[in-house]
Amino acid sequence: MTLNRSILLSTVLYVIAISAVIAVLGHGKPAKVISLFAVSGLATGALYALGGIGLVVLYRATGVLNIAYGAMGAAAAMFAWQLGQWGIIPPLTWVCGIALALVLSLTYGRGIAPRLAFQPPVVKAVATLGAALIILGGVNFFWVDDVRKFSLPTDTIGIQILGLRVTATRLIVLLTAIAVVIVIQSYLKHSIRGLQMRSIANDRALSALLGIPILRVETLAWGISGLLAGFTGLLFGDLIRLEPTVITFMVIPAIAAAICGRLENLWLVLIGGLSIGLIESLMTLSPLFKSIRPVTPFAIAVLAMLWMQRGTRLIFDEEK
Amino acid sequence: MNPLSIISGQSPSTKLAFVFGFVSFVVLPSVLGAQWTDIVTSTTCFAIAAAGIAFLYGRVGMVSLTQVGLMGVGGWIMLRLSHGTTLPFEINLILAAFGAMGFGVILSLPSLRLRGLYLALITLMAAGGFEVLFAAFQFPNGGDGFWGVQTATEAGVRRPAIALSDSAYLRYVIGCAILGFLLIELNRRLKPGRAWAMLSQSEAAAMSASINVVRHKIWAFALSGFLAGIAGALLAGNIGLLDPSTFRAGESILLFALVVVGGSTYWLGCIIAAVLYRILPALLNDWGLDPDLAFIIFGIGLLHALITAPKGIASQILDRRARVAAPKEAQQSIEIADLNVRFGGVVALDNVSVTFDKAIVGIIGPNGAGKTTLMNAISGFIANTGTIQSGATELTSLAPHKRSQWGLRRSFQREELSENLSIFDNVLVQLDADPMPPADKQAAVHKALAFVDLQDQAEDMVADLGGFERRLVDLAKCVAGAPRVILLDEPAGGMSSDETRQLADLILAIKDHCGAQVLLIDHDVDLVAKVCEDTMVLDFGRRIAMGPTAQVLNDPAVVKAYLGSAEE
Amino acid sequence: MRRLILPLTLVSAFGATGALADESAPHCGANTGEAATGEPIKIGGIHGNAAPGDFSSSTDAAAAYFSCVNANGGIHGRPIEYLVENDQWNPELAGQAASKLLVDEAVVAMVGNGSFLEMAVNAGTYKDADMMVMASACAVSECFESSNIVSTNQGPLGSNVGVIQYMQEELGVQSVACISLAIPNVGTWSCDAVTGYMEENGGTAQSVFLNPAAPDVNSAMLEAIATGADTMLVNLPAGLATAVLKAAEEQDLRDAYKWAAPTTLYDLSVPAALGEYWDGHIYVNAELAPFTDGGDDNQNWIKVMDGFANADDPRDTFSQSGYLSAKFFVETLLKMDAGDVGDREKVNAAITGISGYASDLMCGPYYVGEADFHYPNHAGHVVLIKDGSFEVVRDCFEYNSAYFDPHIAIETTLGLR
Repeated sequence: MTLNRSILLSTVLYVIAISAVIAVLGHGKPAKVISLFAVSGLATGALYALGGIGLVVLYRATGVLNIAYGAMGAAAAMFAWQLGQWGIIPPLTWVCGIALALVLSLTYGRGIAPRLAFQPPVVKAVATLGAALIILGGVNFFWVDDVRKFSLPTDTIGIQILGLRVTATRLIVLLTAIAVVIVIQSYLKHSIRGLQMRSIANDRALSALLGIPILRVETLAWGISGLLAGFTGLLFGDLIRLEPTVITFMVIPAIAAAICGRLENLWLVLIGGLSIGLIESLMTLSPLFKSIRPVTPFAIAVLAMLWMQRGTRLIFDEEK
Repeated sequence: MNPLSIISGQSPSTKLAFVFGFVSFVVLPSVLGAQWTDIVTSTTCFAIAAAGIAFLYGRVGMVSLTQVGLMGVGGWIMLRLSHGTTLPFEINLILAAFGAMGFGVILSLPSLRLRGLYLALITLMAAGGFEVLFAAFQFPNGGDGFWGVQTATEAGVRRPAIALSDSAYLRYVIGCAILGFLLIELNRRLKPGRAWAMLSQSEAAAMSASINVVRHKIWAFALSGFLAGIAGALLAGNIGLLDPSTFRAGESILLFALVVVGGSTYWLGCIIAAVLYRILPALLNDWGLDPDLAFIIFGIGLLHALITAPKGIASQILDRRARVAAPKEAQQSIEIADLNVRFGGVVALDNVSVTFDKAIVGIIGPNGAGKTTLMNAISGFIANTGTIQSGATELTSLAPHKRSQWGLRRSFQREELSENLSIFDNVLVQLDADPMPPADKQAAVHKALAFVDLQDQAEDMVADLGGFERRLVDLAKCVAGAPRVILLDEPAGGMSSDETRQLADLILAIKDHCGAQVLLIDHDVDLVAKVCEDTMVLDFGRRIAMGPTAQVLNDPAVVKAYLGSAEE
Repeated sequence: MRRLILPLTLVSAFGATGALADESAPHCGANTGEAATGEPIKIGGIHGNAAPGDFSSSTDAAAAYFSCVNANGGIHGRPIEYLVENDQWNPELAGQAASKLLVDEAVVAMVGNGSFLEMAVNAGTYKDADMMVMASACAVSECFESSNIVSTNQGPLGSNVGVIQYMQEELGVQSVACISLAIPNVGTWSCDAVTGYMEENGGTAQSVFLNPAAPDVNSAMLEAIATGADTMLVNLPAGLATAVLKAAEEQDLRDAYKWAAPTTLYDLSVPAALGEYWDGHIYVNAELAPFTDGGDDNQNWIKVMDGFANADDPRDTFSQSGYLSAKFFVETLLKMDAGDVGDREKVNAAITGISGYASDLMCGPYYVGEADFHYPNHAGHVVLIKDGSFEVVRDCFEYNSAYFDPHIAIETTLGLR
């Protein structure tokens, strides 16, 4: 009852806030211009959302926030590009790129993550920075600075939405994000493995006592996350740019989207990511804010987190 | 512990710190070449910033991933003032430090609601925001207007008049670093340090020990921001200008990770973090190693250190243990009327009205009966309706730490002591908020330790104590100073019968020792029967019996509650 | 992926070395064919090579030329010891590198520097040390507007003004949107100069600044369109420029605007990366002679690189520029008395005295002189991206912006006009 009221309140406030932002930023601009920037923003927002969803899927199952997520994606994109340069047929290059991210993710998940299990979540998260540095260093070593472009055949197909041409690749990002949310949600909810994942995320030691095959479940989570990282990396390489450092550090705005869902609610991550992209793009319309529009993900994440934490007290937090 | 004892007779680690600081200050600037003077200067700047996040994490248990961003704030202010005004370097340095400190205070606000990974991520978001702002507005380079940016850099930052050359500037920076480390050490060893030690373990414990948690958290972040500001301003003085790439969000994560690798609870840990952050890459660069390979080596080292040295490299070097324990639960005598506590739909305490007027009162009941909830309500940790009063004092309206200051003491089911403080300091924490003169506090602590017969071990570290001695320290905390009501939550849990007997004797002696009333929860009915004049029985949040102990223990309703209806 | 193809190119490099004895031998310094054996002369160079970009090709080329000189009699018999430091795009490392070279190693001169930020950090240091730096790959304003640095390349200002001058004169461009990074001493500085040029010539220009932290270039593209300009000047590093052009391709904007870019896009990997869509549509400035030019210096540069550089060192504009700085430097030293070439003060005085050096790589004369600014190279070429490569559409021409008036005044004083 109170829960429903809280959701209702949040929804109403969210709608009011978004409308207010659009009204303020778009004030005095023709509707066509606003819609142009809105569509463009949603296209970028879908990228944030997809990144955030991949982070949350892993975090929920293993308690690890993987900062190396972007680096794994960058490795996938560069590898796929390289295979393409060598004349291998495109679909095979994509599969190989994603497979590389899968291998990297599993290597970390099986080889290193368990040795850090005793560390607090923050240290587990910053440790993945070590993996990010290794992967990024390796990628930059093999592929020295040069101009490259990675394209998917879907780039050439596009439809007009409110005056903006939106390519099929961008639609794939959005649809994948939604599909992943639906599939993962129902998997976690309805399958035994999903239940086990939730249990492990909650208390690893206790889950072990209960006889949950921790290694197997965590391996599965790292595997899913690796596939998503590779897939996301390819799309980032196509839609943002094929520069390993840029793709690697896309993880920070993706974390912002993940925070919007409190690292657990995938639907909120999706909404958060899209909202971030929308507002960030609309900020271009404001002479005052356009130079600092990349601040949007961080500002929204902080506001979302503080809103979700309203009214809580910390005192016995540890005993939970 | 008084400030004098900081200087005299310290641990080997502290002595090493003094030697290290002295040697760095005197020797380094005179022997290093030009390149290494620059490298060590920048390393020292980052060591100051690292010290800020290290104590925040190691001592207060809070994570900040914004430290390098805050350095940028300090550096920005330094550049702005240096280009826009004729103020001396020192004034600019202080203003830069206070500016960053202001942002530190803002950053502390989420920490009142969040901790752990969530708090870390909020601070990471702040770091991301700083990165964007620095990239958008750049660092002042002599231009006009508020942002002070023009298309070409003028002469760099004015250096302090006494440190114009690179080597003199290095000495100046090392001097600032030493002062910065001393500032932390001073805070750590005095009141704030003890408060931080407590609240890093348990905020509940801290509150019950009269600690104003909000103020101490803000102060910790402010101090950390202050050091970041100093570090950033000094860095600006080193190279004369700043570039946004130095202050990316990833750098803050990296510096934090290196602090964990170095060892966040050790002064040496901060030095190691800064050395790894700046000297190692400079060395690899100097050796002509490909910077990409340097990244790989760096990443491997980071993971390796986190796996093999969980407490940091410094702990392996200094071989010292750190970390924190926590306080217990204590309570005192009281009139309670219509007390209700609900957790969602669950009624934890249902209209409890009772007056405890004997020196020692027991509270018993099956698991989940609401015993500890009652103590939490009396301590002020949970919301309740109804009133709790002691004589003329209305406790219900007081914040937990105010209740503690009034004289409400409490032990918890597991003792909550700070392992990296001595026995003496652990007890002194309890009296920090007390207005009595320091000499009286010392005397009060000694008296309390004599009561539990630990006066000869006053300077021992709690980390070295066994379970029973910890209980005794906890009891000493409860009786130190002028307590009015002491709440003991299962003090005999896990004790041998011999130890329980000693404990019973001590509880019986409390009234004579300090005049406080004792409320005792324990499952050991023998202990309750032995020491309590009155006893109250709770079941499902309701008071089912209250009166002289022997009488209550024979009440059929009590027997039923304990043993189940089959027993009837 | 240069490293993976390394074994392959090594083979071809050996082929080149094997043929060194005949007509393909480069011409370096005194060209005696004898290795120099005397006391080495220490020369320094700083490049920036790290994640955002690699500026090392200028020092690579300078190093190759110096090796060639050392194998050909050196400087009056003394070899050059070329000490190169990497600033890794980190201002602290840049300062440290200058300290090391100027103080610890006491180098006689600094030649071939190529970096995005080293010049901004060290301009004051060079001035205090009275070191006249012969840089090769500059991006920041401090490199062109300070007393002790002279660069062979043009940097973003000249490069952008040059291509826009071509667009205005040949294609009748009226209004320009200058899309650049929000970095004052690079983006703002060069876009301001473009605005200045357009206004002098009855047109307009507006700047669209991109925050380097922004992943999304679409909004910047839309913002540029909103300026209503008829020409898009993509004043960005190659990687980012490619992303902006890709966003434009996504919206099929190619034919709605004219497209121009500074030298950053004059890189052999660019046409392929941009793809067929842009073929014949982007005009790019080339600061030095086209890579395929038949001039003596350009041919000698290729030979020096083949004979003395690593096979995977890039052959780009910065490489030409590094070669040229090194060559001018060596010419200067060879003109000095043998006893003076190890003396920093005299060497730097000689560098400052350089005037009227010429090369087919550069459109105008090279000179240094005493001034608070140095911009010898303010004439260039314009090329069009065509058939997977570049086609020269206008040969050497001088940029007519009022910005260069003081420079022209100095050239007149030096008797170069």
